[in-house]
Amino acid sequence: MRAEEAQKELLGDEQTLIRKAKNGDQAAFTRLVKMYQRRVYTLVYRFCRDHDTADELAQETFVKAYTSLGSFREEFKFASWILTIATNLTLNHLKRSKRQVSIDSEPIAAMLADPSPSSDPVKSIVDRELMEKLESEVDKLPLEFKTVFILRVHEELSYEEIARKLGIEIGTVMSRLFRARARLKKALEEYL
Amino acid sequence: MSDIEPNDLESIVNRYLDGVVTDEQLEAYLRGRHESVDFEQIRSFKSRVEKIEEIYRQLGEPEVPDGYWDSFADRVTARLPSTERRSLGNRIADILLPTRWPKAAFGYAGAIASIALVLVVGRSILESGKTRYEPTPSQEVAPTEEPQPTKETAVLPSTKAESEPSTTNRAENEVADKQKPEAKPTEAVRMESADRSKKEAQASIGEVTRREDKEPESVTPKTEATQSTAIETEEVAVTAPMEKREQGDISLNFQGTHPQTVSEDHIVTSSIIRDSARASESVKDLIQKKSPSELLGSSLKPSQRGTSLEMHTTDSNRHFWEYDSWSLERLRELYESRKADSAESTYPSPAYHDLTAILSSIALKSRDTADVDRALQSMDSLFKYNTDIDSARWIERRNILESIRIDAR
Repeated sequence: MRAEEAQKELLGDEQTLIRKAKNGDQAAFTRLVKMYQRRVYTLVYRFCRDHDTADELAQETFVKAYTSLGSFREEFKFASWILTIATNLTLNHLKRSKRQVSIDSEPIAAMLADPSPSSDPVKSIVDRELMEKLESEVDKLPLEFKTVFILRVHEELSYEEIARKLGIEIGTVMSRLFRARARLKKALEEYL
Repeated sequence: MSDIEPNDLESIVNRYLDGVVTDEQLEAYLRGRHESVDFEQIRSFKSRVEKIEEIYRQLGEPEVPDGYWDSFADRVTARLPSTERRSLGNRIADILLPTRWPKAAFGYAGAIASIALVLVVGRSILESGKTRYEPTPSQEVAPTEEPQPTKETAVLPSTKAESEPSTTNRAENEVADKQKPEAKPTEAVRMESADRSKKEAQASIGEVTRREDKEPESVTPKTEATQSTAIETEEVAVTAPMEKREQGDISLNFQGTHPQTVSEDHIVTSSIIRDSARASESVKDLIQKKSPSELLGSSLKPSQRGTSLEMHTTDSNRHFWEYDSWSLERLRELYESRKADSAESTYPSPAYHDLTAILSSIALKSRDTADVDRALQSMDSLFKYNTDIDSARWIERRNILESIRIDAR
C-alpha cells in the first residue's frame, strides 16, 4: 500500500515537474533529467557500448526532449517518451556510423542445434568474462536484431510495443528476436 | 518435407521462450510435423537463451567516471536553449498550438472562435421542434423592469415549461405547442431564422454580449428557472430563460468545428436534457443542415460530462491498428484512394479518423519526415476535434512519431 502511495506521489511529482518544465522552468527540467539520466544513458550505452558516445547521445536526448516538451502529451508516460527519443537518436547515430544490416539466412535447424556439450553453466553465469563476451556479441549483432533484442530484454517491451516503436510488423519483431537469440546462443556456446 | 514454415517455427519458439507456449503444447505441435527440429533441441535452446537473457539483464548500469552523474544534469542544462528563446508567447504557443497544425486549422479556429454562437433553447423548444430562439435587436434592447417574462420568452413555444421545469413532460409540451396559433412548422422557421442568422450572427452575438455587460439583469427575468441556468455562458443570461437545472440533468452544448460549416448557417445551441438517451435523440434537432452532425449522423452523442457532443468511435478504433501490418506500398495506395473521399469529410468523421490511421502507419514505416509531419498534422486535428477516441493508443503513437520527427531535425 505504501509503495503504491509512494508511486502515486512520485508520478504526481513528475506531472508537476513536466508542467513546470513546459512553462520554461529549467530547474524542474533538471529534476526530470536527474530522474531519468541513468535509464537513458544505460539504454543508449547498451546500443553503442562507448561511454563518450553514450554521454553525447544521452545529453542530446534530454536537450531534444526539452525543446519538444510543448508537444508532449501528459497522458502519456514520460519515461516511454524520453526512451523513445533516446532509442531513435541512437539508432540513427548507429545507422550513420556503422555497418549495413545483413539478412540472416541460416537455416533454423542450425540455429537451434546444440553442437557442443554444455560446460558448467553455474560457473559461466557468474563469470565476468561471459558478461563481457555477451555485451560484445550483442554489439556485433546486426543493428536491426540488436535493437529488437535490447528493447525486448533490456527494456522488457512487448512485441507489440516494439513493433509500434520501430514501425515494423510483429512477425518481423519475432523473427528478428529469434535470430538475435540464435546468434547469441551460438556465439556463447562455449560459456553455457 | 515438413509443412511448417521456418517463420511459423520462429514464432512458436519465441512464444515458447516467453512462456506462452508450454512444453506440452510445443511437444504436441512438433510431433511428427518437423523433420529437422525436435523438442529436445528447442528445450535446450530455450534454457540457453534464458541464461543469456538473464545475464544480460544483470549487466546493470555501465561503469562511468567518478562524479559523472553529479554533473550530468548540469551539462544538459548548459546545452538547453536559453529562457529568452522560449518566451512566454512561445511557451503558450507550445502548449496551446502544436506547431504541426496546418495553417488552415488556425484559420478555422479563429473563425470558429469568432462566430461561436450560444443560443439557449428551452427543452420545450427542442421537444416540440417548433422554433428556436432568435434574438432580434428590438427584443434585446427592451429592458424589463419587473421580473416577468421578456419578449424572448414570448417567442418560445411554451412558457409553461419554464415555470414548471421539473414536472413538465414531453407530451404536455407537445399538446400545448400545437394549440398555439403562432407556432410555425419547424423547418420553415429554421430556414427563415437560418437566413437571419447567416447575416446577423456576428452582429447579434456581439450586441447581446455588449448589452449584457450593461444591463444583465434587465433582460433576464428573475425567475427561479432562468437564474438557475444562467451558469452556462454569458449569452445564456441574456438570450433566453431556461428550465431549472436539476440533479441528473445534462447540459448539451454543440459547437460546430468544421470549416465548411462556419461560413454556412451555423448554430451553436444548448439545452438541458433530462437523460442521455433523449439527448441523443435531440441531437439532430439541435443542429441545422450542413453542420458537422449532418455528416456525423447518429454517431454524435453527448460526452460523458454532458457538456459537449462527441463522436463515438469505440467500434471503429480496433481496425486502425491493423494497418501496421500492411506494406508501405499498399498503405500508400490506400491513402491515395481514400484521400479524395475524406476531403469532403469533417475532422472527427470516421473517414478522417481512418485516414489518420493510414497516415500514421505510413509514417511509422517510412520514417520519412514529410510522412511523419503529415501524420502528426492529421493526428493533432483529430485530437483537437475528437476527444472521445481511443486516446492512450493514439497518444502513444503520436509521441512515437513526434520522437521520430524530433530526431530528424
